[in-house]
Amino acid sequence: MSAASTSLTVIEAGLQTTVQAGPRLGLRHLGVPSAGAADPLSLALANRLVGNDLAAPGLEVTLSGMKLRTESACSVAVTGAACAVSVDGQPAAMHERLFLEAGAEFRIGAAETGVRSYLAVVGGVLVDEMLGSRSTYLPASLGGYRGRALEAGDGLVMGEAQIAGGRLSSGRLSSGRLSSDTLQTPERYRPDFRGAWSLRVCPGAEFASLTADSRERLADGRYAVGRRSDRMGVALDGVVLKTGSTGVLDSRPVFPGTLQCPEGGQPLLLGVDAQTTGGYPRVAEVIRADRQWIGQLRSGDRLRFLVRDTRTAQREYAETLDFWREWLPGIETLI
Amino acid sequence: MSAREQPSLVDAVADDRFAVAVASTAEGQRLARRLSTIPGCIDAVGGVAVVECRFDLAAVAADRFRDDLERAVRTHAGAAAENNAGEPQGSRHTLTVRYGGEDGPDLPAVAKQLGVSPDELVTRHTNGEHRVALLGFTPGFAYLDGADFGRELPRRPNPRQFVPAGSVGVAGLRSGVYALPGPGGWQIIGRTDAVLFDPSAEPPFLLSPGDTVVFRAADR
Repeated sequence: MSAASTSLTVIEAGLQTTVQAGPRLGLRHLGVPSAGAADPLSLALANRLVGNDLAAPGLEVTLSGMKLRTESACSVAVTGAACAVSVDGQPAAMHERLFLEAGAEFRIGAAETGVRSYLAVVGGVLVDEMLGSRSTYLPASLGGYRGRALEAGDGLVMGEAQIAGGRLSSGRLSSGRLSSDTLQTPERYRPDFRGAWSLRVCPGAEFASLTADSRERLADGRYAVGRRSDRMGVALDGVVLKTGSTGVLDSRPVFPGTLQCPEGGQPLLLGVDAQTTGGYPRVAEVIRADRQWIGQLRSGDRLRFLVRDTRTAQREYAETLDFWREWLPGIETLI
Repeated sequence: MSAREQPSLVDAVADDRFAVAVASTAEGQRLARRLSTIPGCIDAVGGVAVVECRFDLAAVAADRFRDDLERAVRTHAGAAAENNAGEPQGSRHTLTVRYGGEDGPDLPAVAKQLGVSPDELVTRHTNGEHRVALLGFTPGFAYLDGADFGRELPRRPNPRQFVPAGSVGVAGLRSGVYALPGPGGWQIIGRTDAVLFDPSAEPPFLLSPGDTVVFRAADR
């Protein structure tokens, strides 16, 4: 890694840009959260366009966008939260493979809908594996780029595939146009984060501790994504869920997708950086087929829950895989 | 010694998770290690009185996993009843804690909940030995048994968004040590400078289940 030279230099890092790849699995019993891309589907879509392994490390760009300079030619792709993309000031498209020359200034604009945009670079961002994953877990300074969010001046090194993918004529870039052979995500595989969500849930282990009123509200309620929203979880406004619990509950395992209900009544939906155990009643669980959307829930978005039994949820996951596998073979390692 | 309760309850608690009730936290830690080897198991996490297994829906059918899980739980219960193995001897740690003030903002409130003075609370907390029941919540966060509170303590009604690393909290009948900064719902009574998680160290965690911890009040 030390021998390789910098391929991308961060000019503006934005609010929070981290290197994210696949999740860190199998260590929750030691208190180590999953981390990984908050919207792993969008990371996979970006990697697909540049020919990487779907879980190759890319950049997760949060809300405010970021700016990079290429130090060598490379191909990149941007997916996820809708944003303006530009190369040397010329507009470029999301969901397309873009060829960049050395010295290009590449900008990812602020998220217009959704929260997190993903930048994949051919070969992947080269970072060390730590505790089984290359993903950044910020609270523990674990993995990714020195365990932290990117800062202006940071230099990123690309993986091996860089050379094959980067050998390209400058003509394609300077026009700012994309040639007809450019790879694009097919329309039907482009998620649209419009700000009105229906997430499917199964009743959680402490669902029964909800009051009768709250049990009804869980499914009928119209929630709004609250101001507190990060990789660890999002607070939900608009619906108060009450449990018979005193707030003292022996600590139980929690996972990304768990809907916790603190005594105050404001539900908390846990994300990829979720802690491994928690003491609040777990009233519902977002089903596996829908968990990737949690990372795109934006403050102010509307949200409702659709309650499923576990068998239905399992079937729906299989259907979800059937749909995505056609474009993203191997996606089951990420969603 | 009465016959051990057989951990027999296997409940679906999500589309890709089953819960198994266990008689004790230590029992849960042992069972979790066994269950983590079941094909398709992603994580087997012991909590208090429960072990939960998340399995890979893409790799194994739910019914198949459930069958394997039930079989493993039964086998484990049988073996445990035969062996009744003693718990492994853990390490012993002394953690120096600055109680109260900025480092322990909830100390007065907790003392009030127990009907004692803040000094008396510190005395009680530093008197006894605490045992690491499990790691969880975040890397290195240690749940400790053995506090002498005399009654269950509530969590904060709403979690704090930021709790500094090294914070010592209380909830229920337990103490807990925050290895990392982050949000947390326990009432914070003090803070230690001990490093509980160091990703570059091997092993990266200072405390392990079964270890003994003694708290010592920092000189003021």
